[in-house]
Amino acid sequence: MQHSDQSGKQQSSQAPGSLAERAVAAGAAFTKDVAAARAQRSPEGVEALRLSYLGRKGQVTALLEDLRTCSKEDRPAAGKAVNVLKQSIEREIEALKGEAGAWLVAAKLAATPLDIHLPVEPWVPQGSLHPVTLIRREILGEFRRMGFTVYDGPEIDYDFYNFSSLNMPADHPARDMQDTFYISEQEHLLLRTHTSNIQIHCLLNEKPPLRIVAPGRVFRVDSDPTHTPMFHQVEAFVIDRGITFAHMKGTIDAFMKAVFGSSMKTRLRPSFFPFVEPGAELDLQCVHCSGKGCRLCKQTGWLEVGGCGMIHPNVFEAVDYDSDAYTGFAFGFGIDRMAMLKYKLDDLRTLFEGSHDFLGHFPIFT
Amino acid sequence: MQVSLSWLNDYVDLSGLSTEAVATAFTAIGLEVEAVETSKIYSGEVVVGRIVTAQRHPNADTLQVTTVDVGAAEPLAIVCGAPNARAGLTVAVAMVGSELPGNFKIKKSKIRGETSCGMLCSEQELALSSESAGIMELDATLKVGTDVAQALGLGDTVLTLNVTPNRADCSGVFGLARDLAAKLQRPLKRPALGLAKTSAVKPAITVQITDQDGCPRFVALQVDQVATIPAPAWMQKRLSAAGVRPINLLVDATNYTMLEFSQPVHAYDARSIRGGRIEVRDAREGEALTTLDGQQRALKSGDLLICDAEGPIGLAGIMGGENSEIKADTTSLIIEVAAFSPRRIRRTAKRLGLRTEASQRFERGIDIDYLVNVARRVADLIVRGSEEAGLSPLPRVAAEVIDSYPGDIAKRVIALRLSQAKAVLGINLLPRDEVIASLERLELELLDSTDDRLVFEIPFFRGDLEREVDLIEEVGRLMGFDKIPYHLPVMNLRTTPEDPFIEFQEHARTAAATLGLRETITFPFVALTDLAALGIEAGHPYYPSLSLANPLAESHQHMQTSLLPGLLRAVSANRRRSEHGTRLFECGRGYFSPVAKVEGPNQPPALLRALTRGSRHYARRARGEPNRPVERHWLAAILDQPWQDKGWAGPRVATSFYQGKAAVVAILRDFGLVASAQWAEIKAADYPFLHPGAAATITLNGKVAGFVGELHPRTAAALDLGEGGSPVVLELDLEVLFDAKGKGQRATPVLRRFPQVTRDVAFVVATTKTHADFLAAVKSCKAKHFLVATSLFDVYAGDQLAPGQKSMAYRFAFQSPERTLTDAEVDQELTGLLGWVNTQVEAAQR
Repeated sequence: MQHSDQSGKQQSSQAPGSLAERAVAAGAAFTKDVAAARAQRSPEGVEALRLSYLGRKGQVTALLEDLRTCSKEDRPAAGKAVNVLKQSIEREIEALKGEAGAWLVAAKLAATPLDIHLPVEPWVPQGSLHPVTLIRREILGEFRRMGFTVYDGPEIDYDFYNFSSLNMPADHPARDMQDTFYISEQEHLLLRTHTSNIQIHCLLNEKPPLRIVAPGRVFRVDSDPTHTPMFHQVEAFVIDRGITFAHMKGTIDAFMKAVFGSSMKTRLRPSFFPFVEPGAELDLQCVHCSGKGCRLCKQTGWLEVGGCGMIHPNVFEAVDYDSDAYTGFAFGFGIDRMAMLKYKLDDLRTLFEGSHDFLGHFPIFT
Repeated sequence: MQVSLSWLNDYVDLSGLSTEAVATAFTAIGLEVEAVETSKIYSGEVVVGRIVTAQRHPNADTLQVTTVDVGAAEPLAIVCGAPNARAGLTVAVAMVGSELPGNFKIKKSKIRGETSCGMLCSEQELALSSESAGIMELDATLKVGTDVAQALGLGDTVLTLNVTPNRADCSGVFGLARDLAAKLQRPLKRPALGLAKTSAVKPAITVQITDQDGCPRFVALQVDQVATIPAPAWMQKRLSAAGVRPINLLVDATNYTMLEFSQPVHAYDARSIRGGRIEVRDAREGEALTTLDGQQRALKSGDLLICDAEGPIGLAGIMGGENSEIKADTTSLIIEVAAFSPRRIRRTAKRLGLRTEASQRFERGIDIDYLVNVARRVADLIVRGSEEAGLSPLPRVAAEVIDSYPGDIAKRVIALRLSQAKAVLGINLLPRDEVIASLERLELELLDSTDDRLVFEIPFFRGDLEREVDLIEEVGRLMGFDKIPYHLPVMNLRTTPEDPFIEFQEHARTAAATLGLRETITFPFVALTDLAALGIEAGHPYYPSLSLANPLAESHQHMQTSLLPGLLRAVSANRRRSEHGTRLFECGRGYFSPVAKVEGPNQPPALLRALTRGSRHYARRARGEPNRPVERHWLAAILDQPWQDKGWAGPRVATSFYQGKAAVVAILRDFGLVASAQWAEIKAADYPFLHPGAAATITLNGKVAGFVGELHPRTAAALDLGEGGSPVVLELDLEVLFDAKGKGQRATPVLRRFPQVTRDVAFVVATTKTHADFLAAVKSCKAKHFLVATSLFDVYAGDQLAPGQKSMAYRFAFQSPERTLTDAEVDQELTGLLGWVNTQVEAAQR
């Protein structure tokens, strides 16, 4: 800055000539300084300029002070000249300040633009839910909307809850349908082979009318691309006076339409599960070809997804219910299979590998 | 169960029905058709041809050179060695490129200088009979060029049916036919019995049933003058189609009958029955028998034996003994057709791991009424097979069937109410006549009836029909489930209350996932070696107390107590796949045997009590299940290295205890539990898998809620997870979190309108002092009016300070809800606060 406070002071004390002349000189100097500041485009320069003319030790301030010691006859002319100078400098400085804001914005914009293509990490690392959880939530959501209550039960259970109360007494050939893991430490203790044990716990704890849905993990001695020793089922049952097979058909159909859309069709085929009578296999119109026939459904147009039936009177009697007064239906299916269908997976085992990459492909909400 | 359509057609007329229609009918009545296979006896072309000319081979006396019209432009030249080849004969021609049974490929060849383009087939070459004297002579009316199998009806369609275990009768072709006939409403044709001529031969044996529980009925029939000739081709074909290997007429006849009526039959060589006596009895401990498969079987009481005067000759209902089997020179047979206890057969078969076609049928139950007929049927088949083979003299069947049936068993009688059938099925219209007709088609006998009530006698082959609802199913099944309408139940709106813990677990999952963790699911099995790596040995509270009697793999032997081993396995696998920075969580269960309550001073360790504390919903101890296992509901997570890999924006950041702690705090915060959580250093003995200097336990309302920490360097090394730093693990007891939720004190949030004034102060303290000590000191200070927040912003230890000392710098925030505070007010309060804190934690200002 060529006009320091000090140099201004020197000028004011040493400069010859009348005040009016000095004012003219100062005006000329200011014009030069303003041009320099404009060239510099520096907001700091504007402030320094203001101080060097209007500051406590500024040139204009010095002229105003000298006005006091000026002769009476010179004062009006000198006073006018100095005041005109002061006002014009003030106006100019204000204008410069306004320009300085724009210089600042321009300076910021002049910086090298960012490489917007640089890779970024999410604020929070990408979490996800397991496909089995996602499907279970979807299923339970629909059931809750239909007025069902979710019920839970133990994974290690006694034979009574898993088999004998479900019309599968000891030495019954039907037990071969479900190859069972047994616990060594206690007799009659096993890993449940289905979620139907929850039916028994629920019947013992609650009173009809019942609309219950029971999800959970179940275990069977099995391992290949479509079977794992642990998998997930969900089972729903309705128990009241006057519940019929037609009600079961209606409920299953309404549920599947809610989950898969109103064009979904369901089919029941007679089959055998010891804890229901009549019992049926539950087929879903193939989700892949909509029933036209494809590889997934082996050209049948149907996918076997679960089982269902009217709760066997022996089951009611095993837990001291009046099997003449109450009827009910139950239906169940595999959650893992639904997950495989939805996410087009062909090896069930990949669901339980715990691969960070694989699991990262699933969302948190569906 | 595999069955060919031609066999079914013996009992129910399938004319006019496509294979698909038959399969659909079966599936519709619960006999699911899993596969349909059309059997072919050859591949490529074997066609009907007519010999145009037949001349002696110029270079061989026994050969002829023929020209054969196969419907092509030019007749084929074929060299043939059969003496019956002659002009005009209609023959089966295997074309070049076809393949006959026995991998016999037909090629164009030169036989002694003469070109031969194909082969004229004999019955043997087409596997239609076991021997033949010349080429097949076909019906002259057959059109040349047509496929031989098609023209002769040789190929057959085989259905594979999934027969559910309740349908014992459908393990037999006749049983299947009965159901199919009922569905199709076509007549059922029962094979005629007792066709074979009988002789007055007195049976050479007597039968005695000593174990009546094991064997309610035993039928034996003697057949003499038999020979182990091959069974007729049709019988062999049907057996093969059903997956049974043909052996000889005698054995095949027993197998054929078993497949026909689902009644196992055994045949003994009459010579080998010592002492002329058969006894059915319980095995004695230590007894042994070598079964037909050459295996010596150690027997136990409960196993049922067929014995002669000197010892066991068969394992009843499962497999015959080697000592009494049919041999090549067998001439006299004893046919055994018996009823054995399903339970006893099942137990023995299971124990010996010997599941046979016979044992499976006995387990499911047989038709005790039909045993004599079955014995007759076997004899008839042997005689018929012998006749067809031209055997002379023919076998002689004893007129007298030995029938030991000590206690007559009554048939079951079931009443069916039409009103109940309508109520269960949910249909309004169920014509009485149709119900009766359909059940009678299944050979149920109507004994008595009123308008609503129909009383049926149930044949023995339908042991699965036990009560009214079973008959209702039969009615629905034959009617078709598709005839039942779709209704929605109209119900009382009362809902069963839901255990809120169920939804809580889902919230915990969402909390963990939104934190950036990925949910995994692992198998809840663990191996002791996995636990040894964690430093968990016998006696430790985390040592498994429940194990599988029949694990699939050695690594699956025990039930997990914690989710850590599974998560560590996953991280190891991920590292091997070069997936770094794994961050997983799992919600699952830990399984514990309950620990008996102890009064007095000798309490089990605190951690063991915490782990085995009764878990919620189904602890049905009141119902007399004091030993029911405890299932802890864990949420566990693992944060592998690094926290952040090196990138353009910064260097690699290692995962530390503090990130694990942040995860726990975030989850606690989501449930409003941060304020009630107590943090403490771990007891190294409780958590041998955690770094004792970089781990903590969390307690909520005095209950152990879990732990978080870096993996112990020793554990990390043992699991090969040490390189690049140990993962951080955490495990929370969701039930403890759930129970604590909403119970702790919660400060009422206040909207403060006046500015906050802050003061930064650095304290120099001994390195043993913790942040918790400071917070406690601040909390206990009585001279506080405006202090609203205390936050740590710097921790320093190093050259600037004496050894054993560190600096902890805090920012104190002061605020009033009523006015803007003055500096003087703040400074006055700060002075008082510092004086108190300095004495409490033995600190000085820097």
